[in-house]
Amino acid sequence: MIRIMLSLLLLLAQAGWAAESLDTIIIDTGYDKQTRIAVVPFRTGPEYANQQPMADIVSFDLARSGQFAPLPSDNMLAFPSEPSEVFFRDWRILGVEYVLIGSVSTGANGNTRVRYTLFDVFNERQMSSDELSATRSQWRDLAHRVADVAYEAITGVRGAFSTRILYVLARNAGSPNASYSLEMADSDGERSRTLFSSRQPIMSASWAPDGRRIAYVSFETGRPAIVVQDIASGARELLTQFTGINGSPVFSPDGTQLAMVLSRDGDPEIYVMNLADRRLRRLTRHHAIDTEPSWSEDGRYIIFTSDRGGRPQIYQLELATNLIERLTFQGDYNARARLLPGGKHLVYVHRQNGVFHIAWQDLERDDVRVLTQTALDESPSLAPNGAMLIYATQDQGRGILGVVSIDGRVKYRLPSSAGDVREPAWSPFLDTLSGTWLSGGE
Amino acid sequence: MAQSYRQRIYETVVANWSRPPSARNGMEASLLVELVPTGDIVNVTLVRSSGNTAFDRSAESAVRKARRFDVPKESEIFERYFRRFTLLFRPEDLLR
Repeated sequence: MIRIMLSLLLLLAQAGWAAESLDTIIIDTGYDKQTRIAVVPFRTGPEYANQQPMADIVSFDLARSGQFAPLPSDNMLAFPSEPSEVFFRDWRILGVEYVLIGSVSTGANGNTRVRYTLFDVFNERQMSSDELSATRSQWRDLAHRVADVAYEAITGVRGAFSTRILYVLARNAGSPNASYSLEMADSDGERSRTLFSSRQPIMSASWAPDGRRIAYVSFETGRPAIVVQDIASGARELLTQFTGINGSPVFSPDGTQLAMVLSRDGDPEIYVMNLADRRLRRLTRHHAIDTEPSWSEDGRYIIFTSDRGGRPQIYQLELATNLIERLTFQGDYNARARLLPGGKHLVYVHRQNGVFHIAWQDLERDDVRVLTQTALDESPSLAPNGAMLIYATQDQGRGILGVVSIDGRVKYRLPSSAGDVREPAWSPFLDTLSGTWLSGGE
Repeated sequence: MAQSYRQRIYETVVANWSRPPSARNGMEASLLVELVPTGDIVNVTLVRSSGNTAFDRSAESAVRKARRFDVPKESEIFERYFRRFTLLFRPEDLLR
């Protein structure tokens, strides 16, 4: 069969060759592998001896994207930190495609300075080189930024390592001394800090597109309420507290509206609130449950979960016309969908053989792939570049967070402190070095 | 006979070609490859860009990784088909 395929490909190649010119060979397929990169330990001043080596943070970022296989430093033949010290031959022998070198020093103003250069080994070229500067407490922000630059230069896709995740940490849930907190951490799970805590449950946190505000559901008054909070100042505003459900707040892509679920008129329906004047517009009218809204990138559609067909499935509503279209057809339980950037792919919770997984669907080809293997996977939230997603799962009865690359190749768990970790939400792209952004865990 | 050498070049480049996640079916990049009679690659030039730098670079790397191709010893055939030839990178097997 393989022989037949090969000769078929060859025929195709010949056909194409004839059409193009007398001497063209057409390469129509490839074997995509993880990119081999060497992140050489950065030359670092002794004043940073207590910090985690910056190259380690960068390597871990790239590795957990699933698209890179960083070379362990034990296998390196040389440790250049200046462009003049890089000999491509040393790296070609090791099969390394890219080399990232750097050095860290302290500037006159006391800031931490990182100089880095990225090389393309096989094409023997320098690809990018820059110097970054930030306060000492932004050590990890600097490392994540270097990883973002390298990721984008090599893959052509914007890096999302300089981002944050929100999640709910529950302690002693269901007991009289239960406590809940809303936590924000780096995308690698480090530097968590508490944004809000309560004796009553907190749910459904999500980000405004500017990354400066968040919305969530709080039961602090004994009833569910939708709250919007400014991250830097901590200022909170209670937006809705209607009778019944006040749930699943999600900001529109332009940040001016909030989609939500309210049951004030009977059963759960999807609403959109204009944040400037707080006016509500009801979008769905059905005796079934309509819940878990999210927006398309262009703000023209709302994706939501509904059991109007008898079982929970994903539907799409066009805001201009209120026309509703069903998107999922495989399986008897599909819920909490999110669209990938580009709008052609969907991720959602999918039940298969009685077990809940995270699935990915190509909307044009109707192709569904299961990305996670653990049971009880829920609440998928996408990185802003669509390359990874974070979800909640269970480990020995405890809630933890898992991350999977969108091609399903790499999965890892984020370290969780004591308690159940639930409902993660990945931030939009953030400018963490701008100075106006709050760093975590200082 | 030139055909079997062409097939081996095709297979070598295909095996070396790892596409970036930004690659899409239908993108096209053309490279001009220049060899010496030993088959060693002396020059790879991008003659038509796909418009995506990462895609172009992946194609160029796929050729350069090979370092040399098997070429016929007969100098007439070498000169005619293998001294200079074009590789057109046009993926058809990607998921998107």
